Amino acid sequence: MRVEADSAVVGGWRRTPAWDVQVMRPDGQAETREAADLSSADDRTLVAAFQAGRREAFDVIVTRHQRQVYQLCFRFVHSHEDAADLTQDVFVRAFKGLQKFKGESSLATWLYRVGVNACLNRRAVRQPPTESIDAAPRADARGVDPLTEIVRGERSAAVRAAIARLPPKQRATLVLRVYQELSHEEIARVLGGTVGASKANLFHALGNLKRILESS
Amino acid sequence: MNRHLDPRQLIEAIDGTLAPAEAAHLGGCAACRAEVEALGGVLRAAAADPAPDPSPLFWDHFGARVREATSASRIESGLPWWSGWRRPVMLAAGALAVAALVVLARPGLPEPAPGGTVANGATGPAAAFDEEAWGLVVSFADGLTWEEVQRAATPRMGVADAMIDELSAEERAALVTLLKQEMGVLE
Repeated sequence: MRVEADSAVVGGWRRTPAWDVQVMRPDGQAETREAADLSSADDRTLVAAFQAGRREAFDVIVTRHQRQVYQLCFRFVHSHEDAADLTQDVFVRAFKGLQKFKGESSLATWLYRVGVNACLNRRAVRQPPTESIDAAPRADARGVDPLTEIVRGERSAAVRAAIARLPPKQRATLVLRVYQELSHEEIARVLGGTVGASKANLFHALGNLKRILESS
Repeated sequence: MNRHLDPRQLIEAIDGTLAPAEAAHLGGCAACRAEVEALGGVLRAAAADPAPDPSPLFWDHFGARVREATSASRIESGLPWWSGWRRPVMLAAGALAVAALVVLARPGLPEPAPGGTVANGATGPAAAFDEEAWGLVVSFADGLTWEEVQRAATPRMGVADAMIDELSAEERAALVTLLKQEMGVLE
């Protein structure tokens, strides 16, 4: 067995030697164990592997974070098709930008930042969504009174329409806090503000939401 | 504390992270409690909207979609531009250039072969140097085939190190002097 422990610093992080572990098979062929190692690697290791040129690390990143990014996008566009396109766009942007990622925040926070920017930029050039029955995510309605389900669906549609009318920063803060359950410290890192600004944005978002819901 | 809670404190009250002094105010202030309850109600209404959850089949396809969308993009390695495969090529090219400088600057160059001509129209010491250098190249090239010239001019891995290893101490000193002259760092 040959072990190449390359400790080069890549992108500000020290490379983990585990990627360079190669097993010499009896026939002399080197068998790389990178794929198995990366699937269980933490985000920092995955980023450093990607920055060292290992494309398969990005597949693991996508698999790990796709659901959160999709749900973030869905809260901005309220359509499965648009959210799927937007999620793909976020990961393509991440693929192009990850080389410059310095690790000053967590990968999840950075992906949220890429996602919020993509969502807000897209919202800037597109019309607000028209809520359709098809757009509503499927929930398990077994054992629920149909009338109650209709009322709940209408309430959800009203809340989504109200959120869609919030100013971008308030909307992003509300989505990150309520649906992604980020702390105010994390929201501040994603949106590039302070903890106090995050709390103030949430306060104004809730106040505006209350007014919009009352008037509709 | 007599002042009502400010926006930041109202959010902290909803989050349950209010400082003791402000929590005491909240306990005795009906207006602030009503505000917290109203905002909390809106927050709960928003949170009640169920999270979308596409089918597992979608995620299987999604990974392939992202791979396809990024397949045209090349990962730029974080390693320096001169590392990797470029390094031996650059070293070999540099060594060839240095070797050419050493050979051309060596004193006591042989006379060009009779009948040898210099194509340019330079005169004086520069022309004399050019004639000598050209004569040297002609004498070296005499009897070589094109394939041999091509093979000699193609950089190979490790050739720079090997060439430098073969130099004597005096030749290395001369090489350093020449490099400094070329780079304009000689005093």
